[in-house]
Amino acid sequence: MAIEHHLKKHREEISQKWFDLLACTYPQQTVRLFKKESDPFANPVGQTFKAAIGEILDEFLGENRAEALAPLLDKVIRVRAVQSFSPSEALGFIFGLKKLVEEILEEELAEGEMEMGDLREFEGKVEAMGLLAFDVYTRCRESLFEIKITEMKSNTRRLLERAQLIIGE
Amino acid sequence: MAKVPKPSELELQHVLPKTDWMDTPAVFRPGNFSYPGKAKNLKVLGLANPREWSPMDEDWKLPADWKNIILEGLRERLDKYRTLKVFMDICVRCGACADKCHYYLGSGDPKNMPVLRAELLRSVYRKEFTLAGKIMGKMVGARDLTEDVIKEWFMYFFQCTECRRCSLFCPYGIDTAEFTIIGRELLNLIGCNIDWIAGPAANCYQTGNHLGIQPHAFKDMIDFFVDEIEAVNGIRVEPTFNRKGAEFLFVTPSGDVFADPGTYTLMGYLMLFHEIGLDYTWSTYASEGGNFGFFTSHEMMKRLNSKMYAEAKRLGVKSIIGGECGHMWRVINQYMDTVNGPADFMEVPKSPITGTRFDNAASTKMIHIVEFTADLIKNGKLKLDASRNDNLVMTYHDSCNTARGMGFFDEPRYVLNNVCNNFYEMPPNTIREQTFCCGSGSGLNNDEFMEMRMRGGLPRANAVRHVHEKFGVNALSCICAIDRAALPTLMNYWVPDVTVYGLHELVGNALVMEGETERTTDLRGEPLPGMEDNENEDI
Amino acid sequence: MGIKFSLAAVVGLILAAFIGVSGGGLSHFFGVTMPYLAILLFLGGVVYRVLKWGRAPVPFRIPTTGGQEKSLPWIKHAKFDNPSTKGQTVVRMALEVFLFRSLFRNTKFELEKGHRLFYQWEKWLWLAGLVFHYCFLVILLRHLRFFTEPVPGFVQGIERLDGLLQVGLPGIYITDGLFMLAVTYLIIRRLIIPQVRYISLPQDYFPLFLLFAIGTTGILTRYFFKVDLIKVKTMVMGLISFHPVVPAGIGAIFFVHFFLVCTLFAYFPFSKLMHAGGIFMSPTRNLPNDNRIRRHVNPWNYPVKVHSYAEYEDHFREKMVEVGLPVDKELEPAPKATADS
Repeated sequence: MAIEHHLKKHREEISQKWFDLLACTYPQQTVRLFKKESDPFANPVGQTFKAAIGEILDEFLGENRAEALAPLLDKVIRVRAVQSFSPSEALGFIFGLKKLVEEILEEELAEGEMEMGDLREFEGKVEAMGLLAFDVYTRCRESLFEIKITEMKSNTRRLLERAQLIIGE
Repeated sequence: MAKVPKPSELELQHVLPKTDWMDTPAVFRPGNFSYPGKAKNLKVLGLANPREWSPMDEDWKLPADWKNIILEGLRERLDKYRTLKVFMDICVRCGACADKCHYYLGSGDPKNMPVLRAELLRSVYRKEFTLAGKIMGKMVGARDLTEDVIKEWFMYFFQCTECRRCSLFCPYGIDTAEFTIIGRELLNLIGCNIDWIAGPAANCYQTGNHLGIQPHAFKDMIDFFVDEIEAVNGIRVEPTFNRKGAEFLFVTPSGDVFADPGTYTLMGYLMLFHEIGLDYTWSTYASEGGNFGFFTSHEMMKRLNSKMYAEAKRLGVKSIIGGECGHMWRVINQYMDTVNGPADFMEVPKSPITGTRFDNAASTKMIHIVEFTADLIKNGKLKLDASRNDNLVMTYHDSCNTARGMGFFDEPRYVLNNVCNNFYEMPPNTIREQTFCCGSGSGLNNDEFMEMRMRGGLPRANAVRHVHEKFGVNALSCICAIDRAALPTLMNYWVPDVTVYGLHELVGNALVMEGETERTTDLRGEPLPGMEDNENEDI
Repeated sequence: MGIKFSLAAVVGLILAAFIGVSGGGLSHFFGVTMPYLAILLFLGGVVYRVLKWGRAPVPFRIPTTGGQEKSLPWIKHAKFDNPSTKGQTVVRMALEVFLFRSLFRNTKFELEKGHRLFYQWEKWLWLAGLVFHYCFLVILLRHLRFFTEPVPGFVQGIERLDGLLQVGLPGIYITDGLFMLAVTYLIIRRLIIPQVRYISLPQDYFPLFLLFAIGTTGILTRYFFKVDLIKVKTMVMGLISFHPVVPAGIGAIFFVHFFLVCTLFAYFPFSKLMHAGGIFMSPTRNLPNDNRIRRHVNPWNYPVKVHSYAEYEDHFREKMVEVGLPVDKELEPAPKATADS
């Protein structure tokens, strides 16, 4: 399919713009920090995103296997799942890829180097990734609830254990 | 019905409007605040304005003259604390602290920049206490004290863990923890506090420890660990309680008595003391090393801390040993002797085993268990088999309080290197004095605050993940009870393959005790390296 | 808003001096009244501020520790990042005051992939701050030439060193250029880094604009308008000997420069510029971390309500006795102890 070739050709640009789009969902005072600070320990969110976006794209434009894509999406979504985003806000960046790619490929589309149908197919793939992202998001939120319970238990585990022992006797 | 937003709208929705920070109100939603203090706990502690309320309510039911109370409180504290007074005036807003806060790094919320957290209080100070602020108002960064300001204070002073990382980088040493501590004091004057702090403080005050465990139950729990240790290595340790005339009093956070994995650390203490034959006693009255009073006010800190010296005096001990804890040690190191001393009824701590005199605790008469153990190891008094921890690839988390409120770095590392063989440091800008907070300190380790904790802990978890991926690190050790409670949760979410250990649990694992039966398991009942088969046979 | 306001204020000051001197014949006001007023405000203000700070006690000794504490003798102590004596604390403070030690911590060096040493310059702020402050100091010292007769040797030495480039006539001073660069950097940084801009107040821009204007007018005075420095010196010497004279024909540009400097001095004590004094009084830096060695006394330490052991035992005596915990007061036959619980 012709579009894949073009997508790979623009991989750097797509990756860059997709990352920008993600970064721009944060307060503007922070966007610069997330984008510019290159030390992964001084800028964990930005650098995690930057690395993950590249990996996601490679898999998505390459073999696009769900089992490989999910852990990569997890890297981004796990962060966004605990920031004050609604689920739709947290995952909006996935769908943003459609418009972004359409803009990048505008010229090639106009010149007929690929067909509109190709683009539609690509958009379908993005939507599938969106669904996958939904699964990932839900898993992250579930694990948040699980760890709450685990923590509450272990905070008083010895007491509970002891209490049961006494009842058992 | 609301229109379904287009994806393109969603992408941009979160970008804040270009409003000045003063015009951006605090919005409370589940997950970004801690539940308010319950009336019954406030009553126990004699705190102001006990009532039922929620930060999500429009009306916070503040006392009628709340504004006056706050301003008088602020005036009083400006006269009492040079820190506050000087820090109000000298900040140049250079921004060096801005990206040093773990909450800011994890959330991106600009009001989590330390400088802005301080400005929340400074803006009111300017309005009420400086001429320029009175005349020029907003032009010079001054603003009126309104209920919205109180709400903002509540949100952001309970979104700071008093870790002091920003203070390290400030060219003038401005310490945001001072603003947070005093900000919380002011909020407490009008009854705005959180239950995760008020509850434990009330329990600690009345019963002696945060969980409100009564004396008989406390003893019972320790006896339970005696059985557990016997099951592991056949040795029956014999702790004593409230015993007059003992040489040492031992105080540790009560979390170690009830919460996993702190319990294993506590078993380590018991084993160590037994092995060296230390003449020491536990106290059920001073059964809490932690001090959630410190997260309420200076006064409450003093009230709760008073038990340590009082109990030492009553029992007639020569000196005190303190267990592994973060803020407990900040209080002991920087406040205890001042507020509740002098401890002239005790002696300069001296290790009865090695004869080392701890002159660095000449006045407080209280030493850290880790320096005590380090001295034992240095003098060859302990038989240690580090290979028992060979299944662990270790890294070490410096807790904020012992790091920046004490400078306790090499003692724990020395012990760690003697009880395990695989140790890797996290990157330099995340350890020692630059250590990142667990995200749950200063009384914020409650479950309703989980999202914020995960955000705030992200910089720490990120560094752990780095060594996990690079060196295969699977164990994170620490010397703080809040860490032992909060880091397992943090790891669970961010780096699930990493388990959290207290330092003395590792000591307990490695300690070869006189007359012990062959060890097949560690303190958690997991098979020791190389013993996996034996374990199966037993079963 | 803050930027425009501060800029307008500085422009207003410049215009006031320029028009006042060149058009209004106010050279006596700007040449004599203002400097005396400014010095009075400066000295009075600084003393007032320092006394005000000093009046607040230091209840707790809470240094921020930046290195290994003094511990067992075989553990290497980071003496200057975590001092345990007064002497070590003095060194820590000196590092802070002269080298901006804490700000320097922002620095990072890292090894990038491929083992190429890669320096990441997080220290621009540190460098610009350091350059700015030292240039300011050198420039101040150079100006002593106007206040002394004969000019002391060290002032001449500084001038010689500073003019080492030997370019232009009059010779260009290195510090003039560096000072302007540093101030420009500090302004630009405040404007373009979003976080810093977000936290900036008018009182952050105003001193920067003022300093920029002082530098510019100073340079104009010296290199372009070539103001008669002999006359300037006569005026200054008159001021310090309390026989003020304002020689005719000094040139308005000098008065603008002079007025802005007066403004800076007058403004200093009432602004964040007092950080210069504040750093010496910062309790997280100027105290040793020796709480466990020497007791720190809080002058207002007061007794608080505590839950005493006796109250505690009264509350729990029965339960304690039951599990064999020692008690101070044995159980009485009548259960009086539990009545008050």
